[in-house]
Amino acid sequence: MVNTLPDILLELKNLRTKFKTFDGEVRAADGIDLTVHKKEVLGILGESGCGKSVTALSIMRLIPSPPGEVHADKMELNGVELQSLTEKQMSKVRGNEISMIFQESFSALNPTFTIGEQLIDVLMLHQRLDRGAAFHKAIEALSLVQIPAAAKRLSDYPHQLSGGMRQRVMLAMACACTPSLLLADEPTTALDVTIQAQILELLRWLQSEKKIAIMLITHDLALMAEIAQRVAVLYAGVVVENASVQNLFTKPLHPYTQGLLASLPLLEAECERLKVIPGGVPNMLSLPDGCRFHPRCPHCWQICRQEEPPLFPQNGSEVRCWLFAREMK
Amino acid sequence: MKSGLLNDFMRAFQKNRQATFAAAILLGIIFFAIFAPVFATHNPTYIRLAQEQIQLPPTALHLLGTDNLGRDIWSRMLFGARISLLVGFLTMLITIIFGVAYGAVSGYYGGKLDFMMMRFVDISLSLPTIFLVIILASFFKPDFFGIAVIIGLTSWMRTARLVRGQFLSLKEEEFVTAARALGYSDCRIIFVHILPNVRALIIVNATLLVAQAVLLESALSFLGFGVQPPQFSWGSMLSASQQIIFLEEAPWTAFFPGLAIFITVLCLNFFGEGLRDAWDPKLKNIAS
Amino acid sequence: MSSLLEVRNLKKYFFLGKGAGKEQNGVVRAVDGISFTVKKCETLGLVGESGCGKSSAGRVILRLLTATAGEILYEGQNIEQLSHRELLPYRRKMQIIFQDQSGSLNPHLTIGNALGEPLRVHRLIYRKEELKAKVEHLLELVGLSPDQMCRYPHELSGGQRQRVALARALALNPQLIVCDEPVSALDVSIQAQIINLLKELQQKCGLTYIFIAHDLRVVKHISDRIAVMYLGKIVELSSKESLYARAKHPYTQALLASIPRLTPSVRRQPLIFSGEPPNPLNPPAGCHFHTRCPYAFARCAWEEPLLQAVDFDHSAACHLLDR
Repeated sequence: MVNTLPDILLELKNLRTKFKTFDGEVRAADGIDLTVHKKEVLGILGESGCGKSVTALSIMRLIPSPPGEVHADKMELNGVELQSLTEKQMSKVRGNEISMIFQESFSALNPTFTIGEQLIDVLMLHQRLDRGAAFHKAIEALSLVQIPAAAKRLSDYPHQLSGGMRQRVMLAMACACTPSLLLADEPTTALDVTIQAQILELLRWLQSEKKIAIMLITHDLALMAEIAQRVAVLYAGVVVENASVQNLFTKPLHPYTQGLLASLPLLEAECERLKVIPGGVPNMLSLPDGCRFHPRCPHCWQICRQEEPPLFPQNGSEVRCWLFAREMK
Repeated sequence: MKSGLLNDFMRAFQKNRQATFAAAILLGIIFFAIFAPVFATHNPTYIRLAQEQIQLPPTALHLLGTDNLGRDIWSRMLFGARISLLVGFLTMLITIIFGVAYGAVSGYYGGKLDFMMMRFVDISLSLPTIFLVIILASFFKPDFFGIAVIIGLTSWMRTARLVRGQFLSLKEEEFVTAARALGYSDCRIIFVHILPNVRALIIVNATLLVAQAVLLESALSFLGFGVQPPQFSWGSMLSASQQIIFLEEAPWTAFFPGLAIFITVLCLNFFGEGLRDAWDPKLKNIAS
Repeated sequence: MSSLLEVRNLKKYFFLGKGAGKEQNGVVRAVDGISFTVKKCETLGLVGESGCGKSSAGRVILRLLTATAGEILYEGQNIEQLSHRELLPYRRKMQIIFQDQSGSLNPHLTIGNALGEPLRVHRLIYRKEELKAKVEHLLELVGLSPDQMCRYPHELSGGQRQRVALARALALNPQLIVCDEPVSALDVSIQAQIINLLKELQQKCGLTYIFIAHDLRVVKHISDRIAVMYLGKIVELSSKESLYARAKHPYTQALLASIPRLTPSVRRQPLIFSGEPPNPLNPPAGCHFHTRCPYAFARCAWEEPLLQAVDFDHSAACHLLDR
């Protein structure tokens, strides 16, 4: 893919994350390649079971090691190979250079500590400030995410805040140390649409003013269209399409992406019957042979049933589909 | 229970070595209790008063020795097991049947009824258990079934509370709302829809109740208020060896029944906890 | 087309207080006087954000919650005051499907039993063969194969469970189905399947829907008329076409503007209005929305606006309309 954007921030090559279960091995991420550039928003699009959350947790090295195993050929943040860091070194990186926010802000915040204490903790740990300085920085961080009466809010407990506020607090905590990369796992899914719009604005502001790159994980295509610059579409543990957001929405290449776009109930469009992708996402314990999408694909060929396609370059995008293999044309 | 879940459950249970071991021991004890006549070497109530036959230490003839009345301890242990376990099991049944019904009604209907019913539970819990049991036992002089009832009367409260708590939360589940929307009667909802979801908790609780009942019965019999002669349990075997003289001269008379009680209760506890952990680790905080 | 359901000034208040003695520490006016009609074979969309009372409204209509005040007229008959026994025949006519498909099916019943139970309980079918045939028919109706009968809910996917919930609701041949956020928890590609299924069944079985959702895009697709709720009140009630083209209430306009669009090249400036949703225990006086409304003026703070007709089959509750 032609890089018109400067500086690669995160480079992930061939991420394989497996989980051992009673019923067999689940390859939640099965060879995922991603690149995030500085100050850009990379969208990770996919439905349940596609491996998007697992990818983020693997990058943060938060996958618990007995059932899970993470391997990647390369997992470099700013040139530093994350897999070779010790746990102690990695914990210095988390929250400082790379942060994560989650869908359920209520369960992600500790209910027994005030948000002030949680914020100050993060600041004292990573920036080695004393309590007084951390306190002031905490107020700053809250005002940055546009929480009114920030000083008062510091003594509130998570349950006293609304969902939108909590999400802002999470953002404040994640960005308090100005990380270079923010992983946002479905940050607005649990929020009302009016609050979602506010959080989105906030994310945009963090990107443009604070120069934080964002990896936005979501299943909401429209959200992606609003904020991302590039999008990677995941299906059953692999990347099936990698494109700029323009190309993805005007000329989707992979049949899955096309199917997703066609099945959306749109505000703008008027149609009687939504076009559906038949069937459902495959069971990760028994993936189909060949291309993972072939049982649901309207253009399935013989080769699709037998061999999994690699990523083919196509007009600046990449697509994992035999339809785009040069030799076939 | 669904086949897939049963397999998972068996696998998880087998991983817990304490629990599987405990289960094996319990099965062994029950086996010996059932086949007591087969394994007993002597008549357990036969008294031998000859000086050289009382308080014999374990020998080849009397495997575990004889007690202060010359009765063979090994045979008494086997037959005593029957009573101890039977009382334990019966008590559990009585407690469960009453406690579950009480808790179900209280939790499902909520409101004022729940309030009154729980206050009654609070009151019952405030009564000193062992005291109450002793008074009732000494007044009514019951047989082993009566003992089961009396002990049951003092242990149903915790089960009721447990079940009520579950019902309070489960009745808010959407499949219960759906059942009401479909016009099902309260009775059907309680028994067919909610109760199966509490089954696991009840079974675990039941196992631990048996342990509790065995202990309580032993204590009662030890104090002389439990099963009356000629019936005897491990507890009454202990009571015969209360006097210090016997303990000094013939410690085995107390040691073996005591050990049996200890092992049985320990295994029941391990088994119950193993069941709970295999079924649903989330229950760890509730089921005790 | 005659009206199947009419709701008049329906209220549902939740009183906060503990135990038997309920001192009113506070009142949540979840549903605060709503009125609307639903015609036969029509779909009324009930839209709003979390806390607006739409789910409570759906359940009160089905008498799964007791109304605090108001009337529910089903085919002209007020069912609000009926005893449980008198309500039973109506229960057959009104059913509900939920958002959380895993919670709405009893995990201990096989699909076959879950579908057969209502038929047995209501004494519609007795014989085993007939029951089996009917269950198979229901499964086919929702696009599932008959061999799913012996499976348990946890063995099915989210979309399949939702289909089963739908089949169960259809077992008693209802006329009205309240759909409480039925697709919100499903994957995008499955959402479309379920929406299509709902529309198909509406045609086939002559069903009337009250479709509760927070996503205006989904609601647009399936509804004929739409009611927008905010903090327990209906702020706008309109035919679909009129709502999306000419929304009158500022809240509706804000909702429509906040929806992310699928056109990446156009970065629009959305109407982001200030503040957080107010505390339902202490809603603002006058118009509940005035604290967040960009057009609020003096009257909005002390007088509550009533629904008034703006257009044919379109009414909104806003003082701006009087200006």
